[in-house]
Amino acid sequence: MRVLRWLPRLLIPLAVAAALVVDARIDRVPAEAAALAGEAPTQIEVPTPTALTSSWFCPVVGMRAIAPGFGETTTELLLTNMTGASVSVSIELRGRTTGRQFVTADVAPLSTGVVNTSDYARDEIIGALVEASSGGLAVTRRLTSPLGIDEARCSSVLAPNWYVPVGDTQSDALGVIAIMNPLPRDAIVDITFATEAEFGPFVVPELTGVVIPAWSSVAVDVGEHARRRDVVAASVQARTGRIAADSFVMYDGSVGRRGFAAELASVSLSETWLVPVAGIDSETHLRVRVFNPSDEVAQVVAEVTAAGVDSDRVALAIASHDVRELIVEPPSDREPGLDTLLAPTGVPLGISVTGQNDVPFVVWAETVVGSAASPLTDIPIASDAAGEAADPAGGASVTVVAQSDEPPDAPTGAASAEGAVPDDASRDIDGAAAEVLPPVLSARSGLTSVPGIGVQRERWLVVVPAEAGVETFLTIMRNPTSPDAEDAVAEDAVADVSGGDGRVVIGTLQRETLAVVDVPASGVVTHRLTSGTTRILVSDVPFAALLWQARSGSAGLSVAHPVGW
Amino acid sequence: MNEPVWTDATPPDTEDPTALAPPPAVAVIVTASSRWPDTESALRALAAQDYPRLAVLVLCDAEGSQGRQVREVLPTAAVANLTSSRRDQRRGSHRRRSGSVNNRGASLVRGADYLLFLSDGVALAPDAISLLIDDAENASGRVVGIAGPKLLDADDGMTLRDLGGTADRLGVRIPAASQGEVDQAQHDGARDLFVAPTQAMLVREDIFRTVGGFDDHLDGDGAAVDLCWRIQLAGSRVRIVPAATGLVPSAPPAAAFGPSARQHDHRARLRTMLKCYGWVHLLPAVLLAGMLALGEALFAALRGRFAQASDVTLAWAWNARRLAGTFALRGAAKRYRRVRDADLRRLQQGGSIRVADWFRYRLSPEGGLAARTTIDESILGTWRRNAHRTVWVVWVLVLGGIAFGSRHLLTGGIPAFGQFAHFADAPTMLGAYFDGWRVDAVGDAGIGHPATGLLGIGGVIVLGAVGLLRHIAVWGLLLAGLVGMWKLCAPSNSRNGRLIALALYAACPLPYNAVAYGRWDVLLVYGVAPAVVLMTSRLMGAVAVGRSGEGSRRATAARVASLGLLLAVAAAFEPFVVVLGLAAAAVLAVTETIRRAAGRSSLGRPWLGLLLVVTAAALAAAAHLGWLIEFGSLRAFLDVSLGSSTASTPESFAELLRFQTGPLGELPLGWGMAAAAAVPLLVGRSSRMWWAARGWMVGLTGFAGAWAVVTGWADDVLAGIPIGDSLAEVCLVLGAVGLCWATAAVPASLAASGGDASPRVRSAMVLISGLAVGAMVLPTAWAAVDGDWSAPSFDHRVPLGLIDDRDVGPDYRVLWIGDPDVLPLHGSDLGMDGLAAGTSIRGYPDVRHQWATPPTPGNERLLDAVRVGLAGDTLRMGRLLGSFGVRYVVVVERSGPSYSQGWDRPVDAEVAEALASQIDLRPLAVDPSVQVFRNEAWWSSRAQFAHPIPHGFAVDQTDLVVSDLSDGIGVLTDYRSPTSQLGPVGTGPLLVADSFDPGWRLRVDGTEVVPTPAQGWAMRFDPPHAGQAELSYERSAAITDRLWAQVLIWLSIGWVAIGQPTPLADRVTAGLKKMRRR
Repeated sequence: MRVLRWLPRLLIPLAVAAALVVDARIDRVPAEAAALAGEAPTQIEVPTPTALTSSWFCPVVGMRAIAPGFGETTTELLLTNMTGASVSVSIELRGRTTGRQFVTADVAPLSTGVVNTSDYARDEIIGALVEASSGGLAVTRRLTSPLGIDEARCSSVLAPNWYVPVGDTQSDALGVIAIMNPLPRDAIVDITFATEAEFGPFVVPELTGVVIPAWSSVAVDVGEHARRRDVVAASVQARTGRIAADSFVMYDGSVGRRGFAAELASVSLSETWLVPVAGIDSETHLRVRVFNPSDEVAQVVAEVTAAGVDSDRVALAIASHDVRELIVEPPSDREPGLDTLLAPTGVPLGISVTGQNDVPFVVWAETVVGSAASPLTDIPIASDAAGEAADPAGGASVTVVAQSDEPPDAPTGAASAEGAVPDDASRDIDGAAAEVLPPVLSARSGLTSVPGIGVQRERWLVVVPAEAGVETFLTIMRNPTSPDAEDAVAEDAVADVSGGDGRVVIGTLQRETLAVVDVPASGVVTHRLTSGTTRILVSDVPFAALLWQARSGSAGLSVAHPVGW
Repeated sequence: MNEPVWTDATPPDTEDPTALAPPPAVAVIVTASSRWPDTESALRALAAQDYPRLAVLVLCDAEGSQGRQVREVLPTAAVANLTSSRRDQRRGSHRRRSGSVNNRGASLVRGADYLLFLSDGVALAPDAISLLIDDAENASGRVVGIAGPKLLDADDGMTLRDLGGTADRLGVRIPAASQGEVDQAQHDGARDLFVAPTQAMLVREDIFRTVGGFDDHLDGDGAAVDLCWRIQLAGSRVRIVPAATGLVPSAPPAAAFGPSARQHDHRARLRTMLKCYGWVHLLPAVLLAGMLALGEALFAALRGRFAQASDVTLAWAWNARRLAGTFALRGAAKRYRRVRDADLRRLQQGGSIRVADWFRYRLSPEGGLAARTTIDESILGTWRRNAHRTVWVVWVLVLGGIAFGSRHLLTGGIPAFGQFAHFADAPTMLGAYFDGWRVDAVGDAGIGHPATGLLGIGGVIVLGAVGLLRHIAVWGLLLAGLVGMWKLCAPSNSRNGRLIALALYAACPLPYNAVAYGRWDVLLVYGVAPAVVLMTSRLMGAVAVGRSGEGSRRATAARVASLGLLLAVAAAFEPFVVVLGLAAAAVLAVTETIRRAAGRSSLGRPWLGLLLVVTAAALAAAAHLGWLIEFGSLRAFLDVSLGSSTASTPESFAELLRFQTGPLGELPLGWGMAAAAAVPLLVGRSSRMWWAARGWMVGLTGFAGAWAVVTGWADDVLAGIPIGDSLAEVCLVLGAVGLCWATAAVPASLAASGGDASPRVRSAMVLISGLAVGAMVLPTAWAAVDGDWSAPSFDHRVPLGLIDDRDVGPDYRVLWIGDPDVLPLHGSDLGMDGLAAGTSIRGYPDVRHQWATPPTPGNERLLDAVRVGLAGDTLRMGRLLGSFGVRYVVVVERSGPSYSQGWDRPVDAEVAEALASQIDLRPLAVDPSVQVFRNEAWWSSRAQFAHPIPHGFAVDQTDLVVSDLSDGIGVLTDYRSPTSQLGPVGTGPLLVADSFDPGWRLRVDGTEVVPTPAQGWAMRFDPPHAGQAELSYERSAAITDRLWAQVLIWLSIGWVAIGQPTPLADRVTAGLKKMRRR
């Protein structure tokens, strides 16, 4: 029995010691760090079909003349129902003085409906809250001004921070920031500018602590506060509340350039931006602007890539709260400037801007077709410049769209909605014949704001409103520096044999495949679309796409940002 | 029965009434006991009386031998049974109280002028009755209603036994003669007193009839005080006539039946006060009596005298049950009252004689001597003991240290954070239990959480001072833990060992970290765990019981029921305590078996004890059976009841051993307790070693449990039942109890004489022990400097004052979202980044919202709406929440306001963004620690609509997001309680955002409207016309049955626990005896 007496005396300390040893060997998952209250990632995308509602915020669906000579802007809302059931849509139009008006519409399954909001409300500035009783609804806009036509997304998110490309504030230009506060509490925002004339943020006292009343939109004429700047970007930050913001740029043609550009402001920053461009030539002036709204210097590399030519690149340092402009132009006899990127003419090209030091920034571009004369350049108005520019002669139009083997009215097997890419060869059902000119070459004049795409996705939705006399092109680009692209490049060695790169399936809302486009790891392809249709783009790798439209008349060029889904 | 026969039947002469008036007729009513010699001496003394007109009635077993003996001794005496009914006779005399027996005697007497109520054994002197009559008839002044003799001890004839007396304000009888006082004629003067001698009272018959005789429910001194008081109210006097003497036996009559004499005394005093005082004097007197009773009950409970505490409590309950009858007698007293209370008070003594006596006794040398000899384990009994001065000093240091460390919380109050919710008022808490309607989430039918019922009872006991109750519920648990540890270590027979264990338990970081983090569950287990281990050990036979009655079935049953009751009370707040109790019992059984095997003792006792503990746990479970049934299944109960996430759970075994559960315990000094506890284990021998082994085994059980929780092994073992980290700290308390228990053997193990180790080892161990204890105590003492144990100084109530409409206006709910660590209520898991959500009604939640309740379809729907909104699947979350009457959404991101101490639990940025982007939620400017949104799409929980609403409306949430129903008019705004609201209503559908239950009714000007289901979970009423309406809920019969069944189970367990007999137990015992005889 002596053993029993010693049992607890020995057993207990040994048990404690053993537990300590075992405990030391346990692999513990480190406790999750407490979530830090910060800025949540925001993406503008179509609510999933399982979502209870779809809510879209359109800061401007109608705007009267902000300044003399710029006319009135009207809007058509394009409601795209991506679900298999009819959707009831409620559109709440909110003007500053006319109160709220409600418009309801039913959108058939897998179709796009159009609502002309100018039929319902007229006010200095009118915003719209579009709601549907289910997910799967996308809302885009076509805005029409006496100076041109442009497409823009509405926003599916509200955020405290928006980054607005303004352009310039020369005497022939009008830059407008429209801010919408759809929430029941007044928002207080600070608007700061970055220009080439100031070092650091350009703070205007009148635009500090601006109250955006609940359920209303407010327009700010940038030129009244940052006059005669060549490059202007703005940062809109809400101290309280959540907002959505639009950017408008108009050139009145009094000097030379003329056009109208509207785009939803950028809601997020990124370290990689892609700008797929349909093409440039001697009459197409492309400027890329890089805005660094952070408190640190951003080191970036901008690069132009195009099929079959060497890429050109420049490295830039963007100071805190500063904006830099890069000129993309064809090679010439002139010595290119430090801020110049050389690009071939007549071919689609891609511009990628990549951060080198983990500082996020915003990129967008501006394309002026025809005369780019402005008060700054002091170029006289050339009445025939547009006509000359429209001449495609000499332009080495390169069609990278593969020819379809099948007739247009014979749809092939449906593409998988989940993004499975068919294995068969690239086909084009939607596109026209081979001799297709890039839109910039067919447009005679115009201005468009070309949004950079900071978040590449595998799925995009493009809405092409029905319009006569419009050439519609889709430009698709993959990030040449992303790991996916590197893998794809590595696979190119195999692709030489198999003949395949990353593929993008272009289909209808009904999930019918219209075309399969091979997109090389470095380079851009364009694909012509039939006007008046809506397309879904699906790939197995992230990519960027822009919709270019060239109008034969003076309405000129427009570029639309697709909607993620 | 024969009528009493007057010994002198000569009729009075009518010609000269003054001269020839016969003496008053006296009827002597003797109540015979079972002790015949006493009865015989009393009868012989009556036979020797010189009073001429005397009749004797003896109440006894008239038909039995006693009756025959009476007739032999005193043939002229009439003999009657004690009771009138045959049934009562069969049940025996022991069922009758002296008041009712005397009244029966009086009812059998005719033609008497005076009634002399004589207890069995009082032998009056031959002239006693003559002297009493003479004084009663001839005393100047008011009429004498009662006269009493001087009663001396029958053995020596010199010691004063009863000379009447007075009473204090509370009806406590104060004898005129001290105990054991020798009669030296010092009291020999007839005079007025307040109370006559209980055992011999000559009462004037007409006055006796006027005041209604004795109180049938009273007995002994209580009955005497009551009668004397009422007779004086009627304008008569009570006299003591020392010239008239009597002898009484030395041995006091044994209490034969019913409750204890103490309980009866309490009953009688309160009943007499309620009957006799006018309102002006009654209210302060009852208030004083109530306070003293509460103090006595608490103090007795603190000293472990639960029988005394229960006697006091049950006496009040007894009077409460008979309140209607008491007030009827009070009305009668009002009719015959001739004297004001103020005049009567001159014969009474002010204040409370019991309190005065207590202090006088305690402070006197005699009291100290008595305390030394009679109150061995009393805490306050050590007050005057020189030998226990160390004990007193240590206790003062411990309690003073805790009070000093808690001074800011004691003076400024404990903020409502963590589990320290504010208490609702007592009726509200009782209503939450009894109304059959729970207000949690979106309401549900069923019995309330048992904890609310217990807190409601506590609120009543403290006379509605729920703030005081809240302090008791926090600090009282800490104190109870210390007292429990003191008692747990009592069998060690080592005063220093108990002091070490006490100091270590007091220095343990667990309770202070629990205060810092608002952990009521840890405090609760800290308070009860030592008592649970002690009771378990006693049942195991591991420690001696130290009381008489050891081994009897009733005592064992009482101990099992006591443990069951303790576990039931604790489990009402933290169910896991039952598991802890069973775990402790299991390891004690194993340890005890090993010890007995080593000592070659019987091995059956520990396992029998384990069986008893399991029985106690089963009793505790039975006490909560009604609540468990609410969940439908045990799994459903466990899914929501086994702990929650915490802000303070340690991760490693080493941290567990240091009790590092918060600000205290981070230093390596926290190893001190384990080091001290290891000393007796390593060097102790014999009983000391086994004592330490028991402690260590219990402690290791706690540590192992905590370790299993923090490593996730418990989750694996329990196959998917979620185990909250909070249980780790609850388990740790058992670890602390075990280690402290083991340290009680340190001094004995290291004692110089008969030590268990060599002197050198002993010296080293003394040094180690001292350092270890110091290492534990010093950090706690240093932490006490702050004065609040790092607890927040403020809570969210001030910054969130805007969400509280103080019951004015339409009814609404508040939705609380956040990490469970910082939510002020028990929320349901949202399954999103650890977030939980819950609702409160009309403002800040109180303690009713602190516990998990059964899931309901309505609550699931609410949680779905919250998930949809937070996931960004809709920006119309406000409309979804509006259907639940949610007016405010509060996102809590910190345990307290920004200007207070606390811990941060910010919600995920995406969740914050989703909330900030909601179209219908208007953010309000409040403290940064919380986000508050007002729902612009809100409509009242009781809203009426002017437009028609289809009956199938909003069965799917899609209807809600596209419908703006904020035009609903809030009705029934007179909020009486969760189950009763009043106010005018119009015509049109009335939506009530509470779970559908057919027990609800809407009465519109007398027209009753039944509810119909609405929105898939709520209710809808369609009033036929406009008018004044009342919305009320009537619980179903099933709920009522379940409710009272649970109450009955609790009362039964309590009844057995305080050692009271039960018919069932008696029958079982009798049956067992019969079987044994056969």
